[in-house]
Amino acid sequence: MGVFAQAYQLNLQGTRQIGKGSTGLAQPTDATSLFTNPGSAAFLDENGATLGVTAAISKGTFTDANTNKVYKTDNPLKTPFNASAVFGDTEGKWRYGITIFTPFGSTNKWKPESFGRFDVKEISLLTISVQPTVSYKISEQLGIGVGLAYTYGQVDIRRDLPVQFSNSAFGESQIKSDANGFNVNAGIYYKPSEKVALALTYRSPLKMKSSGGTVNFDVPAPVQGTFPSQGISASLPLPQIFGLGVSYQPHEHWVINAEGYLSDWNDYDIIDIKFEDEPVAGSTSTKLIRHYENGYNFRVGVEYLPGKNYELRAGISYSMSPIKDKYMSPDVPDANRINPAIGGSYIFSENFRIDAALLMEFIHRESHNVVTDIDGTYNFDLILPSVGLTYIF
Amino acid sequence: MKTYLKYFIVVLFSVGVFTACTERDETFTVSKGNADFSNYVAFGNSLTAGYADNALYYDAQVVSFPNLMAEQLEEVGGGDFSQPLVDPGSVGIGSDGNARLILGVVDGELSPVPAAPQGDMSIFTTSVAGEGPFNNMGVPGATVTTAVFPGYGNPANGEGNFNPFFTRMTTDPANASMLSDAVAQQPSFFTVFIGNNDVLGYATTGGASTPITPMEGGPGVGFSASYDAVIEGFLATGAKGAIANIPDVTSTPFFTTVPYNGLVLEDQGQVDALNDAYAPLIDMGLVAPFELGPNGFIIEDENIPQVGMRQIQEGELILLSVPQDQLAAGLGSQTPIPDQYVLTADELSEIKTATENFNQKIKSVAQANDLAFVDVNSFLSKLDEQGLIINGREITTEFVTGGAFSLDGVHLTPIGNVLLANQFIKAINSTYDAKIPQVDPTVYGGVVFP
Repeated sequence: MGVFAQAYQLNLQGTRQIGKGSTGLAQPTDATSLFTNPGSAAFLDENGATLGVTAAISKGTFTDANTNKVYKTDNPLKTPFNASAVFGDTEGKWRYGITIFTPFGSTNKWKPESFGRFDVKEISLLTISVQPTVSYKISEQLGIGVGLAYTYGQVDIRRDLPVQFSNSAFGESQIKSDANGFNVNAGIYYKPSEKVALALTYRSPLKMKSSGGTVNFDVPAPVQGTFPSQGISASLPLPQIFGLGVSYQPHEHWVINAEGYLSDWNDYDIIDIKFEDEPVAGSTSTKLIRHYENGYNFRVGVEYLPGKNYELRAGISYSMSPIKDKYMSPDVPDANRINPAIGGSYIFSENFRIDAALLMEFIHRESHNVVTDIDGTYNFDLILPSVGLTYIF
Repeated sequence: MKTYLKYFIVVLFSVGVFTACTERDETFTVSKGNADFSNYVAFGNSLTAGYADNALYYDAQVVSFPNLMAEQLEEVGGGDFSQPLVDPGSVGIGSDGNARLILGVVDGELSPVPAAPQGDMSIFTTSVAGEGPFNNMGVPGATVTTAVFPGYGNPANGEGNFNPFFTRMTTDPANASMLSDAVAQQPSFFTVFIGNNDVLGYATTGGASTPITPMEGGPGVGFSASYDAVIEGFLATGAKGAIANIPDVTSTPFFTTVPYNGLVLEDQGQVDALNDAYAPLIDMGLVAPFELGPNGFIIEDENIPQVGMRQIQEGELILLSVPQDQLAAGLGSQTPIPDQYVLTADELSEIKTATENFNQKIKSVAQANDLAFVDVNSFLSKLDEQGLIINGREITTEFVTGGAFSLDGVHLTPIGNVLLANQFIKAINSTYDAKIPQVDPTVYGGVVFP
């Protein structure tokens, strides 16, 4: 699937949000607000459950600046999802709920004999979070909320090794691990007037620690002693994220949202994957040199709510990559990008609605990596149709 | 507002779908610049021929740097590139009639071993001249002086005075020189990478036999006049070209793999016995008292009066050709390592001076004739000192594991040839304002393991 908005960070936590440019910090919509802004969930008019699935279709190319060759990805379809339910007294001050979502992910597989085969030829990083959440309405204008998220992840990184079998095939290394970690998702929602709402959210750093990780080397017998397969340990520091949003309702049928996010990836610096038992080719660890920085994201979305059995929405976001040109790598192609989205809903009854959205992302990045010397241009196109179902209790 | 929104959405998504469905072409437009590659002739020695693992054999010829280059040149008007190929299944043949080396396991240790007890003599006895002329005029063993020597392929000159690698590929062994065969093809473009053997022959025999080519002397005798003759021969055809200087041969694994202090003593008895045996030389200051752990080997040195031996000093080199099983059995301790396996400080200094003189000459010829100049010397010394990372893969001059050098420690692996070809392509691009794509390094390998 490649990646969505800024390095590994996915922004696909609600089909309705996706349709309006992934906005909704200051606009409680459905149970997915538990993720988007826990502070706004107390302001939901109804309790309900929402299930959303997104199909991530991506194709990418890399054009080598020296050899002029074009390499392509062979990416499988991936389906990040979210499931949320909110409960509590809709007239009262407290609301609580649970949301399950996929906060980070990246799957990128290059066709065989790719330019980056000795760096990363295939990566799969999947995470799933479960976040019990409470939301408290301090007053009719102000709400706060907090959720504690437990995240489980799986990572699988493959590369070729420049050690050849007698048939000239290259050796391979595969690093596989489970990982898990906790972080906090908190938010404030403030609605000073009928037409305007403001929101501030914070998601704390998520340190994913590996457990039961292994590295497996497939190399010719005489060098197996140099490349001993064994356990590994590592930790993947995923970013803290600040969000600020405003929602404006100029007319009963129209809502306009504008938001900004800061993702602080500065801890994602050098990922040190330690070999637990013995050195491999003289090294006690293998390092992914990434040096990410801050990523920014600006979004606007507009929603048309005619009060009939349908709704329409559209939005656009602009992402500024946390990855510097000189540290771009074949695992996570990323760039500053404009992501347009549209969406709509069909309301079957008071209790049941279906949402649909379509998001597109276009990545174009010229990069000359100073560590690997990989020099060329990445182009990725992603099409992300999303469907969501909401049931109102 | 609703109508505007509709238009906005329609336009946005039309652009989006269009972009998503169009392959964004980021390739550059290739160009031959102001050179003409329609008839490229490569001139040189074993490094041009595609000799590796101490033999000329098919798989190595196919990845010779000129052949890799010629494949890239096809994109900018390059023509067919013919090579004097040997049979694909052959074990090949080396300068000593040997077969190619492969990596084997000897007594549980990885070790280069010949692929067959002897080389494929049919390579020398069967002429392939009828398939020529050959764009690849690389002849293993050629020096700049022999390159201009008429009758270089003539067996009638007697053993040691003709080159059987040339004999098999020339239509006129009795009279032709490498140069005459090369320029007869009226090349539109040439590469000349020669001069290595003018010093390498001295180096690989430990300074014991083959002399270094002198700078002075006429064509066929001196380096300078012979090199001029080669380049003038090509320029007379109106061709443009690229010429390469020669690397410091002593930074190749052939010279750097066996440590000077590889005499590792593990018990005091050995130390005492050696100290007793070498007591007179220790007194004379020719040998340092032996200690537990690493010690310098004892080497022959004819410059030491009477004893003719001494301990090797740091910086002096032991060659990969030394019988390594004998090192364990007392060579270099009980008996000195013979001169032909050692480069002493004096010999290294001669090699350094000769290499510098040769390279000065080559550079001045390139400048005087506006030829592309390939600085192989700097490239190899950088590879030797820092290694190189290419698309995330580290390549060094380390024997076997480094990737660049084949099992003979002097000639290149496929990936080593890719690196060399790309040095030529970069120099040609820059001199002739061309845009020739480089060879893709990701599909080529180094030493293959059993």
